[in-house]
Amino acid sequence: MFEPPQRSVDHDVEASMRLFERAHVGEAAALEPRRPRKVLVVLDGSAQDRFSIAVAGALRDRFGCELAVLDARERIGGNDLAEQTADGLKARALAKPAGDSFQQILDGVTAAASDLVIVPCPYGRELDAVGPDSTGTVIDVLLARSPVPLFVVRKPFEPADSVVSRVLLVLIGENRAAPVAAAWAAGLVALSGRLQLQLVLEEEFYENVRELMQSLNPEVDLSPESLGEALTQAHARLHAALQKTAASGDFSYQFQTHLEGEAALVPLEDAGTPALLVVALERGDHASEGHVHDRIRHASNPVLVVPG
Amino acid sequence: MPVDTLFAETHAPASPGVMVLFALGMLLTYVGVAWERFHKTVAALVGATVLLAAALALDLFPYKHIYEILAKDLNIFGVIIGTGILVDITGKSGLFHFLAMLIVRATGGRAGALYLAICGLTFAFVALLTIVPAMLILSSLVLVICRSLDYDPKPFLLSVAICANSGAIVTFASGLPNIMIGTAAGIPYVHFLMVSAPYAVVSLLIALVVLRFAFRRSLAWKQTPAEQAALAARIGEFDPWALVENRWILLRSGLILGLTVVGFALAQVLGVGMDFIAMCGGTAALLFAGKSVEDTIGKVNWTVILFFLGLFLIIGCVEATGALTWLADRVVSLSGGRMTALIPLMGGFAAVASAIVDNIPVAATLIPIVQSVSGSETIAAEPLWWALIIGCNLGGNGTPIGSISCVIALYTLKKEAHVTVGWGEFIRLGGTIMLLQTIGAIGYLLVLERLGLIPGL
Repeated sequence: MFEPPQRSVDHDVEASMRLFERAHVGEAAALEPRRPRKVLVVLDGSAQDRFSIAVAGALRDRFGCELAVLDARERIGGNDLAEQTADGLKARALAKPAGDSFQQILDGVTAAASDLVIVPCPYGRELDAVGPDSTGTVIDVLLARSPVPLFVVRKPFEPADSVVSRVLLVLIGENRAAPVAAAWAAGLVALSGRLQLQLVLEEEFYENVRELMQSLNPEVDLSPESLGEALTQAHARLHAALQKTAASGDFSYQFQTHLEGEAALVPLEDAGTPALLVVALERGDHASEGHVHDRIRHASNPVLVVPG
Repeated sequence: MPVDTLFAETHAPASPGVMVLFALGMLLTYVGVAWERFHKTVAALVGATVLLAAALALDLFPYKHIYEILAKDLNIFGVIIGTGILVDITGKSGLFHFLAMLIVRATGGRAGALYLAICGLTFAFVALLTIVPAMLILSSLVLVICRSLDYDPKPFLLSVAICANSGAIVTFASGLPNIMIGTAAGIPYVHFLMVSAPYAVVSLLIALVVLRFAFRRSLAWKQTPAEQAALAARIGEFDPWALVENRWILLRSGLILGLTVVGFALAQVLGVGMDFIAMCGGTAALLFAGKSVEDTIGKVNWTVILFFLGLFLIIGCVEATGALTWLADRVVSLSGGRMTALIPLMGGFAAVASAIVDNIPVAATLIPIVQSVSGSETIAAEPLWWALIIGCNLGGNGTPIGSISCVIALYTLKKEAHVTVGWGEFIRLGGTIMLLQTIGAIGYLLVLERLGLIPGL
């Protein structure tokens, strides 16, 4: 007999109990993976178009989806870019309406009955010129109004087929759109690819919760780890559903919780790792809207925004 | 004069006064080890320092002999470090949490099936992971499941504590006394599967019969179909897959652990020691540990390693006086060298002493005695090694402090369920089980010995 210290036993038993309690999620069914059937490819004449076209081609080859191409630039008369691109993609070019770019895109979604839009960001400008300072008006309006998920292209990469070999579903808290976003992530991840559910505990969120807790009870000192545990527990059902989806699909799956600023989050920003980020957008939820904007602005990865 | 020659000349038995002095030093250290207010490791290191200083002052042996004492047991440290790393990483993978939840869920929450599943899991997990990590998993599982199904955790936790000690005799790597004795005696891993593992199952059955009787009114053993349906619905709310963060890590951990167990079994054939296999397993696990390497190395039980360091030096000092050989001679003369007396004597003493004191110093002290007793060609060492292994592990059932499994279970029960189990209550239950198991073990070894079924070393 050589007993570990009581504090160590307390800590380990409690950690193990929390882990078992994570399994108390009810009967979580596997998700039905969502895959695009009709995709609208929006062009803006920037270098990012090359990547948008490659992604569209890869989606068509993999899912057999119909493609429609739209040149939504304002004050551009002809429709040559859309027609030439459509020829190359064996897609149809949408007629070019007048009006604001965002309205052209929203009308294009309706006209093509699309369930996914590939759109460059910032729209109509080179990414290098704007950087992380703005997503642009077009993206802002689409985030507010688009009825379908947006595949936001942030940087021109060469081969597009590898973009879904690694898919990161990033969540920061309760989000009604999370299950749909997870279904899209599971539907898009490449065969034998890797899907990761990453929960991020934002520092500001932690500070706010801790301050509130301490105002209710000054004795309580909430640690980032315990709030991270709570975040993990809150997403246990989604995790179990994704785990089952991965088991029935042909991709690997991993679940992680990180504190904001941890080294593990760095690959999200890594230009050399063009993994697809998937974020859930709950409209009217300021935290969710802020998170989606922030992710798009700071990512050099493509970002799939799935509205709830 | 060369140091070795000097030692050889001074290695004759010391005077009775010196023997008594060193034996007293050892006993005082053991009192310190058993005394809660004194840290075990500090007690062992203080005892080692004092006895070493005395040995050098009395010219009992040259300084270089200290390294010879430690070199003899160096492989134990390799096993402890390697298995410690492997168990920590495997535990973190969630593999055992997942398996435990999967099996518990399959019981449908029915009291009888759940109880048997928990006891069986305890036995298997201790055999694979050693007592402490297995107890942490099982204790927390019992608390979570009992809260969810409205069962009293007391019968479950006490049963887990007692069944754990049966699991501890399954393999070479299931417990520290096994590693110490197995290493000192050079017992191959497969011999454990041939001799101690079958009795581990028997001792588990003995424990289950007594526990089932003792808890006959504590659990609703018979449940109506409606109750069973309600329980099945409640336990169905637990989804084991929610515990798996990464399926690949789970498989990888299981694979490394499995290969290490196979490596242990083949160590003798491969011509390597258990320490080498354990370090290979630990290193393979560390290769995939990622950023948690530092954390995992920090989880190696350095307290136990330092404790062993002190303990081995103390035993080495006392051994050098000839006191242990003298004691072994008395044991031989008392038993007349008959196995029918030596097995009960060794097994019984090891069990009772382990119930009172820590089983590690008991094993460490009895190892050189068994070596001395079996020094003559007429007395076989093998039955005595097995009596020591089984006695040291099952003795832990005798008292609330006899085994780490009992300490953890009773502490957890008090802290999480606010239930206190007194010494009297525990001794009535655990002591009865220990007595039956020890008598059974003695009978089992005597039969094996008589039939010539104990493999030679």
